[in-house]
Amino acid sequence: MEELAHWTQRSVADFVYNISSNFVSQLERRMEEREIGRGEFAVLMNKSKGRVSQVFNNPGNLSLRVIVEYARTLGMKVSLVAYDDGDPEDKNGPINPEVFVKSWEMADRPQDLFEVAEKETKQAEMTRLRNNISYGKPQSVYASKSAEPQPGMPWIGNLFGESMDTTLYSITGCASFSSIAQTPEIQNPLLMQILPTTQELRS
Amino acid sequence: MSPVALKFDLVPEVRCSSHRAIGFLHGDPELNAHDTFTALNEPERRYLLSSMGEWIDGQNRPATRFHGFPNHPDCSMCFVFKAREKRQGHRFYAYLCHPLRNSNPRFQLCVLCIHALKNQWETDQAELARVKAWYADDAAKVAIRAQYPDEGKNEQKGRQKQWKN
Repeated sequence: MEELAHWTQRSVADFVYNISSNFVSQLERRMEEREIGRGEFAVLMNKSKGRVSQVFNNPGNLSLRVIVEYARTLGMKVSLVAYDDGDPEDKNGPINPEVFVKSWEMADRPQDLFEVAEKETKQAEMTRLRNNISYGKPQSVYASKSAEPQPGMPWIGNLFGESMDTTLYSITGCASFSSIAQTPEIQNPLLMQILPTTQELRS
Repeated sequence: MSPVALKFDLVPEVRCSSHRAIGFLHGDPELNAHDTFTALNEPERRYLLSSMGEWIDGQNRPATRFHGFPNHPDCSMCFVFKAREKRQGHRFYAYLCHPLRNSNPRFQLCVLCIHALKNQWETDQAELARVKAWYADDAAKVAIRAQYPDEGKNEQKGRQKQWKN
């Protein structure tokens, strides 16, 4: 298919228009969710309906101050995000702000970079556990005090790694990692959830 | 509906993805969305380009900019992009379809057909009926297929089977 340059490539004004328009769309979606009409919004803003409609219908020239005022009125905050999407010539236009919002929400809304780092560590642990598991038929979860796999039962691996404990969880035939995660015994496959059970077994 | 060959062109300068794309069906006097869009003033054109970008990015709201017609079961394929110019409302009526049923069944195409100016809130049923007729039009299907030839898994499988026999 023929590759066409994105319309925001033409000028800074076009790019600014697009990101302002995306911002106004976010506000409009919020207003729809809360069933707030433009008239009501104008009252909340202490502005005329005409002025508000002007911004919503032609959002090309918004100042940062106005952006923050409009967002605050709807109980929202604003972050100005610079990013590098590997498209310096702007062939694809800006990334939709909702992509950043959804990604942040999917990461459980971290408030600072320490929380981001914690999530990364947990994610890495999940990946490691997932890689330890071999697959079989879905049946039931069996926790064993034994250091050896139960005869005839496919062993999915030592969830704690060799350095933590010799207690093993033998799980008969789990189809997938998610089916293990859904079992009551191992609701959350992260170590904090499993560790108390292990200690009970040990004692 | 149409004795002349129709043409389908993607909206220029708007990103296409493997999920969604938008284009104009034109070549018949009734299909005025293309010409009207081309002649729009810059603010309205940019507004619509932004809205189209939003839809292509996966947004289905806000309804102030674009929406389908789920409350009209007969016109569930219809769609509209909206913009305001002074006291008049532009409406670009379209239909949604899946032109790559074999190779990319999830791919959704918005086919812009008819422009109308609106002063009233209510949608004109006649416009939806016209869009619906274009949705079923064979020449329109041919025009879209020229842009999106659907040589997918199923067709390839069929050909392979034939070759084996």
